[in-house]
Amino acid sequence: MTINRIGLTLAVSSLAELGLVLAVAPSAPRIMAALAVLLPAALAWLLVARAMAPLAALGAQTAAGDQRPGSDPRALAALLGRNLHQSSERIRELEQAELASLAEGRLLEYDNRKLQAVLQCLPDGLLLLDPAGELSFATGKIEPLLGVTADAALAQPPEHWCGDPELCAMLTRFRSAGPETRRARTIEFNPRQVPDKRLWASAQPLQDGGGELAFGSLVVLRDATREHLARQAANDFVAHVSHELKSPLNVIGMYGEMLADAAADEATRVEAVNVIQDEVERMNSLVNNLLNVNKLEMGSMRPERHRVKLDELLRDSVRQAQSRADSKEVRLELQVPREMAAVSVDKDLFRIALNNLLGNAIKYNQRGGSVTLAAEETEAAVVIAVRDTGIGMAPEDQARVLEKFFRVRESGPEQRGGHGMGLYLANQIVELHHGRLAIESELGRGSVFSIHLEKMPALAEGGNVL
Amino acid sequence: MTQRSILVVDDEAHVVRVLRLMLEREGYLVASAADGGAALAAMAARRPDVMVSDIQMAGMDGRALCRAARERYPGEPFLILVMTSMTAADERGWVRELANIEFLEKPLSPRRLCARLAQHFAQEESCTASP
Repeated sequence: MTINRIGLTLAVSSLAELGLVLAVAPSAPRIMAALAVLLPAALAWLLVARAMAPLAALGAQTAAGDQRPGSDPRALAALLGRNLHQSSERIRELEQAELASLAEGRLLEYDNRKLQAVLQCLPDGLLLLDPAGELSFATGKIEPLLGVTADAALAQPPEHWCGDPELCAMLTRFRSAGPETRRARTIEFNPRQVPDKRLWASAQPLQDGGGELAFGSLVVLRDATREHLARQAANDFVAHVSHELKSPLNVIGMYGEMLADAAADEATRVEAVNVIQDEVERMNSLVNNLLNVNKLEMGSMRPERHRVKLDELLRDSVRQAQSRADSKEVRLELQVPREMAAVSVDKDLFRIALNNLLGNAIKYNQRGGSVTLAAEETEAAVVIAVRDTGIGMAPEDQARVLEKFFRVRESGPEQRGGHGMGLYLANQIVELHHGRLAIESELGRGSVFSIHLEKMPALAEGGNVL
Repeated sequence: MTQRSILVVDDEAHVVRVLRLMLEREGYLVASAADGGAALAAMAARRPDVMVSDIQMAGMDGRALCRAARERYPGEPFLILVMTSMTAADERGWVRELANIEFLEKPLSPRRLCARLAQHFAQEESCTASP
């Protein structure tokens, strides 16, 4: 069957359908119905005829008995095959292009959502001002930072939503300034709606890589509360240490002047020399403790723990503290059982902790009082206690005595000149050894500072004890 | 001539001790207190001719003490000498609202203090003596 015949058959069948429709339908509705059937049929016929045109031409050529060279049926079949192949290739290409376009659209949407998620996840708040200076984008992070929702701020002039004068002035400046006068700048402020925070707001022009296209300005809001507090703490620390160093210097200077005074009697001179020695020791101890606290806080103080015989370490500490106890007329005792389990400690660090505890117990004692360094073993722990018969502490002071720089206020006439670092450092060292420093104290009766250390498992045969 | 009285306020017992020794030797009557509250109590018992006070003290500090002294005794602006190691200008601004206050730099020289007191009382006497 030729292609022309196919077209004819389709046309005839359509006309037959039309006759059938006209026969069964009433006149006007019949005409409408006939058109409704005829038009799609005619359209379909045209489309098919167009698609089949190369094949129809081939059919006509065959029917006319084409005598041109190379027009034999086999050549025609080959031509037909090529045409069919080309058509199917074209269809495949179109299908692939459509699929690629769909995938590209979805990928674009995915990338857009991913970018939004990234921007929303940033710890900083972002504000985007368009080239006219209006707010065109804001991340949700501005709410915890400024106390304003992104929805409330979008498309609003800054003065309508921004309650912080510094930030508002910066945003307004970017709105009113021309692109060439917009300069990157950073301000620091406490947001009015979230007054416990300290923020940095950095604004900069937003341009493409070549600087040809200006997209407006980007404002980054960063929570700088921690940095601010750290700066404040550093300033307080310097002020405190300066004061702690100047106080003994002041006393040394005054007593020095008194020593130089020819009118000073022998008793005053002896007093001056003793006070000067004490104050020099106070400054020395402050500097040593400062260096150790600095190491500790920088994380560079790492205990090198070894199995240590406790009784020797305690005896050594008592020997070191003996001269201080003698000068204060305080009796120093050691109570250690003959057999004690070994402990795992850094000897040098632990000696600093013991030295500070013993030093405090002697310093805050009374003439004729006593300090006892005792150790005992329980089932799971070794407890090292420093007991004194000193001035003791009120409960509110006990709660704060391990804080850095905290000093118990003395009510008596005698001034001991502590600097609030010794107990803090001792406690930090005990904690580095996974131990616990406990305090019991009674005002006017004395104090007990106990270090609780976990006992080491029994030593394997041949193990070393330092 | 009546004995001049000096109130020394400092929580460093050694400072109070040295100043007391030196000032008593110069013939002054010395009272002392370890903080602002105790100083106000001493002031109520006897108004000093001069108060020498530290700033950083536990309890009521030197600033609060100076303000309280001027509020309580507005008609008696006795000289106040404040001992300080705080040299920044903004740490000294608070004295502008109060009359007759001077700073003494730490480390404090008792000799310089005695010289300043002698000069102050000499000026007072010359003002009283002149018609």
